[in-house]
Amino acid sequence: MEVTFQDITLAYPHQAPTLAHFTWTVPDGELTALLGPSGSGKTTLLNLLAGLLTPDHGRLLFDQVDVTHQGMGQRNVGMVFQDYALYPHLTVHDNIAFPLKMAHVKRAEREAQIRQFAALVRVTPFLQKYPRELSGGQQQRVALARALIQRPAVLLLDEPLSNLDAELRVTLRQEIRRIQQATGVTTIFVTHNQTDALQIADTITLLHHGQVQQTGTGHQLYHTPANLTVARFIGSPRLTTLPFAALAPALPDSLAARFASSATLVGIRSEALLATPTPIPLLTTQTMRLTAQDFLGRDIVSHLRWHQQDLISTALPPLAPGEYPLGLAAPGCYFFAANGRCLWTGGTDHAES
Amino acid sequence: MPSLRRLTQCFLLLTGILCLSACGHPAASSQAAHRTTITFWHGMTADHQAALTQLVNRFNRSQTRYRVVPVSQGNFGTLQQKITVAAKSDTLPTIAQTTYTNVPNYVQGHLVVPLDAYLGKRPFQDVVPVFRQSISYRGKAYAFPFSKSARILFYNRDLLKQQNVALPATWAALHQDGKRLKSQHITALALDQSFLTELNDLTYQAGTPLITRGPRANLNTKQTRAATHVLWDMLQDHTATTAGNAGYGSTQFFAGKTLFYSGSSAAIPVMQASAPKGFHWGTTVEPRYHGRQGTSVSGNDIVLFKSASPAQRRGAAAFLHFLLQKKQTIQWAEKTGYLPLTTSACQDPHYQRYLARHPNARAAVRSLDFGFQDRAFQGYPQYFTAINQSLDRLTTTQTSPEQALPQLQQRVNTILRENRGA
Amino acid sequence: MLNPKPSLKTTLHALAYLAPLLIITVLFTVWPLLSAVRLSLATRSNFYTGRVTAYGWANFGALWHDPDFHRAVQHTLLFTLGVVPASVLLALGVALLLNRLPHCARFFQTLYFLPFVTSTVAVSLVWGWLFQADHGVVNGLIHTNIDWLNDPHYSLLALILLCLWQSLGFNILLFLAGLNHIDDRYLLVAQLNGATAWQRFWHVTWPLLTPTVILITVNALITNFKVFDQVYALFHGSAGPANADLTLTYYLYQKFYIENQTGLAAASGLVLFGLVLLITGLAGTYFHHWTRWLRKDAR
Repeated sequence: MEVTFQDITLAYPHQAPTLAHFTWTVPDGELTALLGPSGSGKTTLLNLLAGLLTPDHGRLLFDQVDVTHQGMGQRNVGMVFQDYALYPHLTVHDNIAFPLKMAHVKRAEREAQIRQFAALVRVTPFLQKYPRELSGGQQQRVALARALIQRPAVLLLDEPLSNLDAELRVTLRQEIRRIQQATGVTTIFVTHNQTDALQIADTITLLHHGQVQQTGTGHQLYHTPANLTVARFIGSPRLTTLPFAALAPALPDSLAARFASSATLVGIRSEALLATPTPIPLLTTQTMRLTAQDFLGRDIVSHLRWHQQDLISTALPPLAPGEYPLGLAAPGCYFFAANGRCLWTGGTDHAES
Repeated sequence: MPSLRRLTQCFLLLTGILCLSACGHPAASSQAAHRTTITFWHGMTADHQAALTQLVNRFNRSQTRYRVVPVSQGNFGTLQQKITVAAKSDTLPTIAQTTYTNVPNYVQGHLVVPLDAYLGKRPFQDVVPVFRQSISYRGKAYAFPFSKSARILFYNRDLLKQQNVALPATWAALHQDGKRLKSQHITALALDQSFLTELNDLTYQAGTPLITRGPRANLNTKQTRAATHVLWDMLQDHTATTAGNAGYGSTQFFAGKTLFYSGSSAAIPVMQASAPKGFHWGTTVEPRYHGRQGTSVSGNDIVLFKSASPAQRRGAAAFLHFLLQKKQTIQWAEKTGYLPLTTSACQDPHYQRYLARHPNARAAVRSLDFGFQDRAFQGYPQYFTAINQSLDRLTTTQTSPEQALPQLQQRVNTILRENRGA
Repeated sequence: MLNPKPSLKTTLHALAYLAPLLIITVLFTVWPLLSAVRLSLATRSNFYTGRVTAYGWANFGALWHDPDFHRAVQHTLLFTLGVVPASVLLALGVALLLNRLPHCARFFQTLYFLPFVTSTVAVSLVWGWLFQADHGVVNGLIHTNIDWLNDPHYSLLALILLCLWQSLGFNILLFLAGLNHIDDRYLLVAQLNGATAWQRFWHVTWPLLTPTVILITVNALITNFKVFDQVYALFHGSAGPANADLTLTYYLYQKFYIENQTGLAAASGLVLFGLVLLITGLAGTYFHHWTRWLRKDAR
């Protein structure tokens, strides 16, 4: 089911509007990640979808059907909360059965479906246990089964992985992906964690200040960010920025001249600063001072100093502090306009128009 | 930490107060240190309590050796409970107000001592004969009569005149008048919640008291049944009503549609205070039955507890002796509406002048000539509860005396038998 | 020194901490209970001196044959049955409504709670007045001419109404606390799961409220089994017309303070104790059964 937010405005009393003329489409059958920092409006969108909130203005469409004023029960939205909200007084079996029981589905039919979904989320051995007796991951799967068994038009996952430890997180990401693909239900995965979003989603929508900053695949968002916000939010370590004027003298003249009037800021990904010599084509080679290196397992984060600017690289081998000639590669180097718009993305100039 | 400091401050303050009060107490009463303290628990409240305090103060002023400390325990019900609890925990006062009907129980519990040894026989000789009946139990004086009252008949003066009714000489006349007045929507007689006192009077007048020597219960005799019917019939044909949950019949009496109210003379001061404006009422003695007069006297007495020291016992005797003095007992009667305790006080010109000024007080004093008191016996409280319950059934349910009285007789027989064994 | 092994020293140490409460419990609960047992078995004794000269089951036998005691048991059961379910259901209903009230909930909560903190004497005085036959408000409201406090057919009902009204506030408060304890998200999920308002109450709120319901019910049962002050105050120190409001505790009071029947009083107290124990035990079993989900080692 395709979900469309059409020109939606919503304001809480005595506050600036949380959403203003907000338009967004979630493609049918895909797993879309709604990524954004806290306060970006993710929860508001979720509440609008679930029917907890009604917009002041605009329409919400499920496959072109206006559901703006439908109640929670009518919309058939499945939801999994951050802490799963499993009914503590019901066994796993009864938790999964709950939506069917409410809909007065016949017992035999119900049992068949429970078996099917329990198998799908792999909780069959725990059917007779109470939620308290399950681990976080197991509870998560039960919550998924309970949301899926009602065959929801849309499945909403609200930060479903944030209460899990790192290892389980990885496993469950794959599980959610698998289950989503098995059922083909349109799924919106709300998260503030870019790794979760990058790993799991078909499409990612980055939300900031109640506005869609960019929608695309993880690759698109990383390599061709639409604006400074996206470029800064996606990627780790964070994008390093310096004034365009500081870098301009070091750039090839044609490039510097082309953006001299429009660009104000340069963003450099940590992997774009390389040790020389290198086969990769470089924009420039500069002598930089290596001040320190952090060893994070596989990665080495090097702190660099160049013309009163702090830079970071993750592409350097272990080195002693000192001066080194380092190259700046075009991919991973972005120019931004004063309003944040991305003007140049290291050669893949999609945003240049 | 500030909370801890505050706690410490509070603690220090408390300790200080305790020390001060501990030091202050003996200093203040050093003058009375050599006086023996006689604690007196009573159930008097309001005006009665004030009158009692006055008497006690006067006694204390007249004394150098003893000091009476009156302690009000609320009403008689709580006073009775306090005594029971104090007896168990050995914290009884020197003397306490109680009814003489509790004496057998106290004697069995070894709680009280006879007054004879400390008071002698002489002071009792002047006590009104009817009060003397209740002083002794098994030949020894335990109960000193104190706040005594008689059953009297209150009447609505204006209504009496308006309906041209004479004061009833007999219960039959009262019933007759009542039947006539019913058509005028006037009730002849208001009774308290229980009509036990009236029934007691009737059976006494008939010459067959409810309890006779032995003790023996005569609750299902022909005479008792007939006496019960006098009252029950009036209740049945609505010439009389009981107060029910209101407790006292005075409420209904004051409503103005009731000619008579049979109540205790102890209620006179309260009735004077609470009568509606313009309501004129008078008092007279209870009607006759079988041609005889007879009025039950009730009220409270004072007992001396065994736990008191010899000095306290002597002090208590001095105080009781003081209460019997003419001046005191007359003042007590005038201030409270209770009866004077001695014959000489009753005949005293000063008191006679008081009666002339307060004609409503006369009926109770007149009743003393034909007054009587119940016999005290082991198990009296149980008997009292049982008979009141039976009478309550007669007034609130469809039970007839013929149904209730045989059961009551049986029950009281059991009570008496069990208590004889105890 | 973490988790030292239990030794004589540590045990004594623990005992020292427990001692104050233990002493209080023994002094004010266990010892009186044992005294009551002794007193109830004494057939010939002096209450004041504490001397017992003969023991036996006579007191219990007397209770078995005493119609008043039967009446007291019967009234107590009737009364409890009249008050408890009504009080629990009414309180639950009001609490559910108050829980939905966005603004004046506090005000109403206070209003409902007032009777509970008002002295029973004052409450009974006011109700005595409301129940008056001639000009009473109750009769005025329901257009009857019932002599509530003097008619044995109605006086127990009058008592039930009073106690119901008085206990409502406290139960409402407990229910509100219980409702607050329920995570709103369960109801939200239920709504998303397509549950109707009634289904949400029956399948989510009610089962999650079970511990509170049981607590309130047991508390109400015990309180109402011991009803005394209200009888005493409403009927001015009697047990109602023709003993129609004679409850177990009132019976005990009457035997002890009025009739000096200490043995009988103690025996009736023990019967009351046994009944309360039975009820608490049954409720405990029920609680255990219905709240398996609360425990980690369910089943």
